[in-house]
Amino acid sequence: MKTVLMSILCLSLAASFACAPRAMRGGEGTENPGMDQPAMSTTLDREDINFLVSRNLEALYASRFWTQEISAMRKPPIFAIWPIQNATSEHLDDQMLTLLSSIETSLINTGLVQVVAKSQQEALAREIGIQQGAIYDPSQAVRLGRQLGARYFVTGKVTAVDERIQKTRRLQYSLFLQVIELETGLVKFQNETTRSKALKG
Amino acid sequence: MAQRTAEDARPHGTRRPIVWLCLLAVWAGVAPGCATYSDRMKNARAATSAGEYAEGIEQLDKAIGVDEPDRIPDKFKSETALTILERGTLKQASETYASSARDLSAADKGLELLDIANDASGAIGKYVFSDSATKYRSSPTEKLALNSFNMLNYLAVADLSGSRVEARRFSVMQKYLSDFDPGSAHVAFGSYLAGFTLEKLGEYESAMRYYDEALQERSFESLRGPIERLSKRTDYRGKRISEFLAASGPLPAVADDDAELLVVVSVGRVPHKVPERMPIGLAVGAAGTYISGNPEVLGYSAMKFIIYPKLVPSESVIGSAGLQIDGRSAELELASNIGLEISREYEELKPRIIGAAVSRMIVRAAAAEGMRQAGNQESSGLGWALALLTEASMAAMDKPDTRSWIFLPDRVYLHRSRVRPGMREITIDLGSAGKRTTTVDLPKRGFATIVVTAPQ
Repeated sequence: MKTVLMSILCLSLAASFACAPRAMRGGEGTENPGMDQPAMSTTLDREDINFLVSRNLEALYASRFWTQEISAMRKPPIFAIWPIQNATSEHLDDQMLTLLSSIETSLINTGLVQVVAKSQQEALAREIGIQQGAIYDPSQAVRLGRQLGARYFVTGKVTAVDERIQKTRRLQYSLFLQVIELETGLVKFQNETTRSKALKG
Repeated sequence: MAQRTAEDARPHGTRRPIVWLCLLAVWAGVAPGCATYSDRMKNARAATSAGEYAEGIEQLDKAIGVDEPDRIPDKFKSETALTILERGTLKQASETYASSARDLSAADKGLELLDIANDASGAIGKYVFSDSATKYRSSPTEKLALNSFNMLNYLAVADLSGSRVEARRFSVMQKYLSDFDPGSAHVAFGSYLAGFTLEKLGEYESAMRYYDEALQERSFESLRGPIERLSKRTDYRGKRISEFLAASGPLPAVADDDAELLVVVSVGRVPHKVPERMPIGLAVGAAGTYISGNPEVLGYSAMKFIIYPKLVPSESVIGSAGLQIDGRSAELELASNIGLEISREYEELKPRIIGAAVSRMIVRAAAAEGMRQAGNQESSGLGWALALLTEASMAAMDKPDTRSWIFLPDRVYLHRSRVRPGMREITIDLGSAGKRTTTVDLPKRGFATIVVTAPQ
């Protein structure tokens, strides 16, 4: 009888553990290296952001603008990163922050440029009275960039072609990245990288 | 005398079933089976009608299965997305816009997954045993209204970027619906708000396209000034924009540093669905039995119920709304009559709804007949009893699909005008639901959106 009761208890315990939610660690160097690979939804995830940012920055660092102008400068020029506009049909607030931080980190780590802190930019934008909705206006960016003492500003836009047919929804994301010289207003670099996500029934 | 003869001629064992029949008919007619969605929303509806939005949200939290109004459950059941949508509406009514936006976005995603998911078993079930066997699919009007009301959440806090995302979602859905269901819902105020958002973001051509869409539905007087101004900044001229511009007279002069005020007032509740059990066989059977004196007629027809969701008007305490800016009356124009659009959709779908209900009634009759034949092999009384029990049980299990966005406001009014910058006092008169007064500080050349949602 005791053995039977013990067995039932063990089985119940095992069953309760089997049903309980389990936290796990994933990514490089863990027991689940491929955990970040599967798509969980049609929104942009870390994998997508890494892909879009790295492809665009690879193109920037390989461009003539970078190799011939930036690398040749004796004093590292100041870059300001202007907010990247979300022109998609998905709310990407967190993703846009990650995206901006990734660009910022990569630029700083080249050691060839100086980057204005984002908090400083935001405070100045408020101070010089940039109106609601004008945050993505290039003329406002020029105005702010000059006040910050920047020589270039990095800006861009995430767009998405969003289509739905019966049981499928597909989003084709594009990250456009531009580097604009403040003094002349010339676009010194521009690139586009795309990635698609879909939901199928 | 003739009646007695007919009674004598009755087959053995059919007298007792008359009693069974009557009892079962009454039971099947009144038994609701499990409660339907509209039944479960009863308490939240009562609280909302009384203007007790916090209580309404609490009731919805219980239905969702969470203990905090900001929580979104990890796992969505068949009605979770819809109930979160209801909660988001009440949060907007409570002026907690960020939380409302989170709920409406979560509901939008959940409803999209339900739309895309395959539901073959549900579709079969709808024609065989229960009306609510399918996964919930929101109607075209609900889909467009969701993004429109979410635009309001972002506009209320002047978040144009967030509103733009909702405007894009609105367009994607509109295109999808026009591709697969041409001539369906319009929700003109959604197009108006999308135009307003893009105009404020400086995307004038897109703004004009949305205004053109809004004008397709109704002639918005408040758009005269904005369209006139935009026509100087973009060459886009849709059919209605051209007509509108041609019909416009001189506009009152405005100062360059004027601000713009948009007031959006949403009141009432759209019609909702209630379970309807129509005993089409009982009256025919009773008349047939009376005429023929043969209770078998009643036995065959008594359980013939058509069970379907009926659309009924929702009780509303708000008849119309009034507006005052700094104590002076201002005009509110009707932007969307969502209730009318919901009723139109229902009327279009009604033949299909009744068709499915009739199909289920036939399945019940066939199942009962099978049981009758099987029971008759033992005794005719058993056959009768089994047939009646089968049909009555199946009728009780047939749960009418009363799922719909219950707290979706019935009418949306708006006001838009250029005002001098500075502090402005806005009062919205909701009749017996009281007045709401708010003060807004309008920056030079800026804008403010006042959102009042009262699903009462």
